[in-house]
Amino acid sequence: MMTADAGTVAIGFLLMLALMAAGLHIATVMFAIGVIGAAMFLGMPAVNALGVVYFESMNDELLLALPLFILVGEILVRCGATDDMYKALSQWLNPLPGGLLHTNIASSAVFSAVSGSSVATAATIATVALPTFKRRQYDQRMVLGSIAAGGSLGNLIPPGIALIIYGVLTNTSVARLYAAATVPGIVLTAMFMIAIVAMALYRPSIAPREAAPPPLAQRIRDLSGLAAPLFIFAVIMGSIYAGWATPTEAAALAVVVSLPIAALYRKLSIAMLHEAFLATVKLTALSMLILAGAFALNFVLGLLGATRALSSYVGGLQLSGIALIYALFVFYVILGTFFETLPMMVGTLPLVFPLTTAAGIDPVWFGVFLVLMCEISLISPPVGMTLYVIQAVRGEGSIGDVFRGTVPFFVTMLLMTLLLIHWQDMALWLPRWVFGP
Amino acid sequence: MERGPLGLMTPVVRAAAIASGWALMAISFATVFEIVARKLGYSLKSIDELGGYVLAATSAIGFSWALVTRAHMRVTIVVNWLPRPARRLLDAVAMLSLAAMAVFCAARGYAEFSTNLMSGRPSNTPMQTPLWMPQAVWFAGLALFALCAALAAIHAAWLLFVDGARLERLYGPQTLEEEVSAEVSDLDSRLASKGERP
Repeated sequence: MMTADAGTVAIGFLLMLALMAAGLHIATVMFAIGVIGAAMFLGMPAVNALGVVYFESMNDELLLALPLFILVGEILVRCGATDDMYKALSQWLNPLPGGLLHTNIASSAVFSAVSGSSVATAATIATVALPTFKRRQYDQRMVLGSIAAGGSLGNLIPPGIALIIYGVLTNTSVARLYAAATVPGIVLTAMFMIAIVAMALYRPSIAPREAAPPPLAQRIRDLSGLAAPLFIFAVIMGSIYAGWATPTEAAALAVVVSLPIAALYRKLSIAMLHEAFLATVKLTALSMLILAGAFALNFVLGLLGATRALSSYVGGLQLSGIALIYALFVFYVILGTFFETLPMMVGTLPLVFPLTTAAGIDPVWFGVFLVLMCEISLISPPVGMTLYVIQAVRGEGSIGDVFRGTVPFFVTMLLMTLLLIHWQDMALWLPRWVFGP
Repeated sequence: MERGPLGLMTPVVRAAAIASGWALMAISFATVFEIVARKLGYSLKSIDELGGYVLAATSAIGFSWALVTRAHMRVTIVVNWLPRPARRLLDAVAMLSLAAMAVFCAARGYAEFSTNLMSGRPSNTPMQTPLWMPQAVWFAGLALFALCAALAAIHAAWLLFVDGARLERLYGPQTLEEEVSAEVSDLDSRLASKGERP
């Protein structure tokens, strides 16, 4: 059996990026690189073993959380729960400078807590929010940017599916990852809102003053609009951290709980469920095909000793952990302008993760960092599905408005990344406190 | 709307996808039952194992659904800059390579399934499920995917020589407008009953 050196691995990685850029399916490329590597260096037995790897990787109880969380989101989106939520939040947040812009962020944060998908979150909030803004004199770009930024919170605030995928690929505890992402998720939400306040104070023309809020009693009564998403969130996180359920079991519980909620909104029907199923199966399958490709690649790289070769090469460079993190920061921001979240994460992890481990970077912290990088990629033009979906819901003006609107939030996210890099305990103290070191 | 050979497969694939949705629903209820039973000091034990099988089957079946809805992910930003003939060639190559992978996986899947059927090898769990049982469904999903992908690839290769425009429409990456309108029309149907959007 041969082993690969760092140079061969680098050639393989560049070949992979080139084939992806040529428009071949992401999953095919990862799989093909794995098969070619196995055939060239290891011979047919290794190629044949890929069948076993395929079944083992697709038959994973932990990954079952992926379709289940997607299904919860698809059911809730179809309930129309977002309107009540938006109204309830706006009554409390309107007095802040920046007015209704804050509600875009906050309602995305709340909704993303139950929906695994950022694009679905942005599309749903945009549909509720944009008609509301029609009658008001807000700066259009800020409106669009705040919806896009809010949508990007989806993966960071638990239970996001990106963290499950990271946990499975790297053998990191998903419960720990969720705990680690919670504080950064809240901090990023707060930073977005602070950014809006700062901009509204600096240039009051971007947001008119909203009318005085309704009386306190009514505002409290309308908080019931938040009940559905918060209840599901509590069920998921509560059952995990009380030790009753694994993340997968919590997802199953959420699916079951979402049914009576849909019934309360009078939206529960076989037709609605079938729509939700089709959307869920589609999203699950396209993710799983890419993941299976990644597992095949991981398996071959492991047999080749490629990860060890690469780690020792990078070890020889005497990079400090911080230098490596900064290098990855730049790498991912650039990659993110061209790639969607999933291929970016899955395509790079087999090589990047061993490096970070070798450099002594905490795998839980790195998971949060990587998901933050994915969120940046979601709102960085020219490739960012969220941006185009918002523009489509808007149905007027130019996509350039959306691009420019995201700039302040993009900058906020870069600041957030710096904060996370230099204050790693922001992510790590909660899992340490809950689970011990 | 023209659909090509994949159009013929769509009803079958759609039905299979809905069936996997029901399987997800069933495994959710079984899991909740298990959580409650465990609290009461008694456990069915093997629900998580079943869950793994449901995921494997759902994914394998879903591959075809994602294929007929053109959802499998491609990076299109570079390709979009290429001249039209090169782009069409790459579309055909993408479909052929996807089909090659699908057929390879189905073949490996069959090897797994048939070996375990002969030997009756059980899973390495308390339930000792004979592995061929879940693998039969899994392999059926992979075979369906291989069939759909092969049909699409042959059609795409043929179109490359006779009707490039049709090749682009059927097998090119979804244009941004198509992708967005799929996402938004989905949203429209979600909200249609409330009369919020026309």
